[in-house]
Amino acid sequence: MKSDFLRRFLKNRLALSGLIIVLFFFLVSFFAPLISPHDPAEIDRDNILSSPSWEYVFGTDKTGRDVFSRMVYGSRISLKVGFVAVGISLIIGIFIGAVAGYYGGIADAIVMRFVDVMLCFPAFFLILAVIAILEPSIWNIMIVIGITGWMGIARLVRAEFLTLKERDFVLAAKAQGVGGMRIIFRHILPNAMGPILVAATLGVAGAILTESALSFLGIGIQPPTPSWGNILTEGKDTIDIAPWLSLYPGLAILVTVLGYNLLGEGIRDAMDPRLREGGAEK
Amino acid sequence: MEKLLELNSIKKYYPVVQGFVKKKNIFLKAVDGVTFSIFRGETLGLVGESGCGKSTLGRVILRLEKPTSGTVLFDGKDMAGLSSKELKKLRLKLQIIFQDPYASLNPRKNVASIIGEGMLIHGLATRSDLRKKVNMYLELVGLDKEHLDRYPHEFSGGQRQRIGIARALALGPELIVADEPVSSLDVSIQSQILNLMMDLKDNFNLTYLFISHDLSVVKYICDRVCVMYLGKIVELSQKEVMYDNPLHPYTAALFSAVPTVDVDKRGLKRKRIILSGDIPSPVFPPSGCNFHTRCPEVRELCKNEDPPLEEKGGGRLCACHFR
Repeated sequence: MKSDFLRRFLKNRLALSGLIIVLFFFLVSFFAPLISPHDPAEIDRDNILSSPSWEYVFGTDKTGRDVFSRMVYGSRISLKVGFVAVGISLIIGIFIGAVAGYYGGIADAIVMRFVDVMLCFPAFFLILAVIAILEPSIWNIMIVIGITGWMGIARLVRAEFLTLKERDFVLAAKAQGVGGMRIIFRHILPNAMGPILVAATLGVAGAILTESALSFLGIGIQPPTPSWGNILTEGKDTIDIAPWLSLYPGLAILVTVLGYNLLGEGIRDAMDPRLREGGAEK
Repeated sequence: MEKLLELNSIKKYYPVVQGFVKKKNIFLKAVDGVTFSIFRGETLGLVGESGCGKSTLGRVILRLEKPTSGTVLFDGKDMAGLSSKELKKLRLKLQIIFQDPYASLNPRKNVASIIGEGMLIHGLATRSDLRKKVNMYLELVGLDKEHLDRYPHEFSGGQRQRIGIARALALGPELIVADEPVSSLDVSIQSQILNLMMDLKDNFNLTYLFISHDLSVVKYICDRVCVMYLGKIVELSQKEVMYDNPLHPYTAALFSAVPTVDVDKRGLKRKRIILSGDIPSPVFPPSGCNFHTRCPEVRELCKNEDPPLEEKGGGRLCACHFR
């Protein structure tokens, strides 16, 4: 089973490039101090808005800081936000979806109507409103993205549980006297992890995008902490004379999000080839 | 003989949901008033067509489903009145073997934990002696300790069924509900599993409720046979009596459908009784006798009055007006 998965995954070139992109940014953020040639906060007054050169590979911004170094450190923010926010979504979504799906009946009806209500809010504006009230710290941003993003996972988990709970091995566990919580977390959940993993990977892409958008609007990560979003927003004022300030962070966001999406879809395709829509050889 | 399990007019109705509004008073009558007992040490065969409610009945007995009405007494105790703690304890004595060995084992768990989990939960084993105990049960069912760390997909159907039997056995049950335990296996494997089950029965003083649609298998393994049709019992008697001379027209038709190499004295094959039509919907069962729509001997009375399950002499129970 596992080797089948690997074989199919490795054959899919797009999925593989997704994995490489994701790994690349992991390494970049992990080795940020080694990679970045300058301190991200270091100001070089002689080189304000200088174009890309050997000294400053991505150029400098309007206060003379090295854009490359700032982006390297910014990748840490993106990763952190992506994973912590999705982690929060996963914890809430799995728990709620599992309880609704496994116990069914009234619990299911109440919980899923609550999910519907949450889905009615336009998530981005909800996040905007909450961040406007709270102070825009990185933890607040991660938590808010996390607690507005769990509904899809809850629905997915519920659907998986609805089918899995009728399976014979679950009935066998019940007949053995295994308790509800143990059945949910030890018997059913491991069998539902595949689709959850895919949703989580795609969720990371969404969270990174949301963080960038918030930072771009100025209510995300606050300067001087570098994030791709706020480098981009600083760059837009001088886009006519220094386009590299906006170009590179924009590209980084694009490539990262693309990488996670490709990876997620690749995992999904490799897990179950029947899920592959259109069956096109990519 | 001592009654181990007693069922009193068990009914299991499922509400029929149309759209997202629950329609009142429309029910699928999976089990519709079943009364019988299982004696300690016997093997009772429960036979019938697909959809006649035999699996549902098995699940009701194990309390995987609550009956709509009626009582299940295990060893004289009403299962409905048990607290969840008492029920958990009772589960030690009441186990199940499933039909499909591919669906009944958790694909993410290895054999040691599939068989051992129940023992751990009930305190029959500790972490340190678990493998030893699991191994003992593995050997009982004809597997060995090199299988302990393998996963279900590494086994054949027959081996998986052995694992399922070991899992049930590990809790030291008194009654095992075997829900078509051999119908998804090859014929050659079927006999191995049946023989294993009969050996285990002798060694562990087990009682079986053997659910099946295969009459030759039932003939081989069972002491008494209970025939169900559309949620009701139509006939219940000793195996020999029923196989020699089925009383109820449905039983007769069922038994005549068994492939056979027997020929009678005149060299002719037994006459096959062919039923017309399909099994009626359990949502709208026929009036009167459930079987009257397909019965070759139907009379006026059958259409109006439901025949009760009555003693017809020689300890045979049969639900028919004219037998």
